[in-house]
Amino acid sequence: MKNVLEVKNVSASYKDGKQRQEVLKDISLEVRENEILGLVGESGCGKSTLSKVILGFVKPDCGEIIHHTKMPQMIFQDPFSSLNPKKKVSWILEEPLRMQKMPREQRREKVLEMAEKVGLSREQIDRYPRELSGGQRQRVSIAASLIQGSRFIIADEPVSALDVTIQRQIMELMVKLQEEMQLSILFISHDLNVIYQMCDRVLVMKNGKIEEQAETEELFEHPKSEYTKELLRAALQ
Amino acid sequence: MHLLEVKNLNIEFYDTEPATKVVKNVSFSMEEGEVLGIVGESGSGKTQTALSILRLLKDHAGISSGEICFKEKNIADCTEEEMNQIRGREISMIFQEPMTSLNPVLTVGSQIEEALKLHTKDDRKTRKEKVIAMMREVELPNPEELYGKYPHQLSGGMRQRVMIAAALVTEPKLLIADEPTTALDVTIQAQILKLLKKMNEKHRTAILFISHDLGVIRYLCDRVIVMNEGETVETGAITDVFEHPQEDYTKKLLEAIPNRRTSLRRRRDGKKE
Amino acid sequence: MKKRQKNYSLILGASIAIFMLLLLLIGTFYTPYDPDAMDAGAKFAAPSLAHIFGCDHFGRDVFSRVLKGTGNTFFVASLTILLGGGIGILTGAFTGYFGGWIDEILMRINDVVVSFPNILLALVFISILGPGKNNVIFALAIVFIPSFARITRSEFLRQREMDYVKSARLMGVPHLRIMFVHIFPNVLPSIFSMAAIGFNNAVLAEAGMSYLGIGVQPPDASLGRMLSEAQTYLMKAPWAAVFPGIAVILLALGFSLLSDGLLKKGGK
Repeated sequence: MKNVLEVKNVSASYKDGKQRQEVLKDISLEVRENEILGLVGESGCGKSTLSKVILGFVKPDCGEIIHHTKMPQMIFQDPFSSLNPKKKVSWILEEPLRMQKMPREQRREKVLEMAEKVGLSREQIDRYPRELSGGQRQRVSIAASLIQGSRFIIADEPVSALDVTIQRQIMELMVKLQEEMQLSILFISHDLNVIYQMCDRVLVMKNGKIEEQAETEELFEHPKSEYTKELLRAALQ
Repeated sequence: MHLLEVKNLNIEFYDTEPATKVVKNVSFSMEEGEVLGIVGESGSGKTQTALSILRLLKDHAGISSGEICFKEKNIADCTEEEMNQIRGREISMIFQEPMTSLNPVLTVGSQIEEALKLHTKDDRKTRKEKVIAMMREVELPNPEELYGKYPHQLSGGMRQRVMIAAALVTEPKLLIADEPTTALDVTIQAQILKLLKKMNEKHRTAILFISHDLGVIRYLCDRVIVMNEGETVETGAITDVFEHPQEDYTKKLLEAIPNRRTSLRRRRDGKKE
Repeated sequence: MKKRQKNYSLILGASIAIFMLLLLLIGTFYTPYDPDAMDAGAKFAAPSLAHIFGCDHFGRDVFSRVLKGTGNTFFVASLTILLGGGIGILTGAFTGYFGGWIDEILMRINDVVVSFPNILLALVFISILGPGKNNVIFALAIVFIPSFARITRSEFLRQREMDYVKSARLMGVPHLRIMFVHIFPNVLPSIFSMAAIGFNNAVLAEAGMSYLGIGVQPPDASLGRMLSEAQTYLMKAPWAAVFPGIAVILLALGFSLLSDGLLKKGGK
């Protein structure tokens, strides 16, 4: 199986006053084509920094990041701040296409097609983000990330801010889209149960290091590291 | 005698025209030492119900009809002074955000002590002893040292323990907990829940536990009320509701909780069988 | 029961501002008398049907001069804001969005400029450039740059961290487009209210400088100049001071209330 992304021995740190705080310590991982890879860890473990390093927002101190496909697109946790409040949904969805110099009629057509795929109505895409519910906004984010033709998505806690029933809908949508479009998804979450339901493989992160990585069933049934065991015990079912 | 009885409670928001009903005809009662959970999604009215018990509704919200009786006394008849006696002394409350519910410029010790100052005639020395004992009980490490520290020097989990200590130091009969573990990491959440369970068993403090998280409710509560859009959907003993839900909404809610029994991935399911 | 409060500042501010703009518009096309024509017979004439605001010490019609003066004051204030605001917004946008050493240097220069009182600094510039309408505009514009730059910068700093900006960057939207097409509409409300406050200050500053005799030069009418000239004869002909005074107050008050109202509306 081919990889869409390889991260090799990456370390990264922040300047915290005079001291340097190491947030990523010698991280290596790969995201394979057509898989959902889960990245789980508690707050401050470095999982969000890792996504920023992969996307080039933060420069690593050392190590290599190799993209085998187009730049991945990102879906964020907070569906309020991830959509421009002053632009209509249709404008937001068209923007990536505008960058590709696509003519107007074609753009509109493409937006409608994508909206249908993520379950947004024609009427909803002519509204402003604040006029949509949290779940609908997350659908817009998903559509925006896919419309340009990207097949590799990084999703940072995409369902954490949503109510359970909505959460379930968005999870199902992401799985459906993954299967239809052969997406590769790096799925970051703090919720082990969500990870279990969504992912093919899982990485467990703690204090900037990868504690354990395994196929989902393997990790949940035979966890090797003490920390993974603790997490599994703590996560209520 | 019920410890708390809520009868046909209706709450409205008046900042819209016409007023929005956020809680519709909710009734329930609690006995001493009982842990009752209210579960619902955002907009279900669970938080407003909790706030109304302490008469802490925002200015634009109000009880349009119904009764709330604590120890058979209607809290609507209480004067503001009587209410202040009930708040903190008889009923305490803890919130989701341990960062904003603690005062950043006061030491941890003095914040736990505050309720004792207001509600008891204890002298300074007894108060401090009680505070330290309480801090020990909520398993805060080195209480003597922590007594003089400030909230920002503590981790999120420790802050929530401080909140719990401050809420329970006057030995109230009822603790209202509004999503107290939502902002915490899972491992810390598990510790806090264990602590609440311990305090409930030891002091017979009744807990009204508000959460959107069914897993947490199931772990902690004896009984549960499921709310949706301001209405009570279903109520019953925890095992009954979770194992044999009667209403469609409850079933949908239970179905939606992320679990480790079924994967959404067809591919992996195939592999499993 | 409480109802949503009406936005009175917006309604009142907008009506005053529109009223003043109407006066100004009339003033540019029509005045009852030539504002500069002196009529020795009408010296210190009290308000009457012929001269509704009375006449000043040269016998000039105060109403006509208020109409013209409002126009001049408004012109100076508007150009000041356009020039100072424009440069300030551009500086703020670039420094806020890109940060780094350019930001450091420009913001330190800003700090220096801000540390002088506005009027004093404008006076320094005027003393170098010499008095006159254009120089007043230029001097005031420079003085107004820092406040615009500061507000715009802090707004851009805040917006830059929003996820929607990250998304846009990942989609390959170029920086300039992110700044002016994506971020700018979100910053506009703050800039708008800032401009209204700035306009207000510019009106008062122009009046002040003309009052001191270094602003708009005679025989051009300006509200500040009229006040300054009328001062000597305040007891004899109070109308020559009162009416331009009211015009200054209305001009400043109208736009100040308007900005207040807009800010409240934006906050909802």
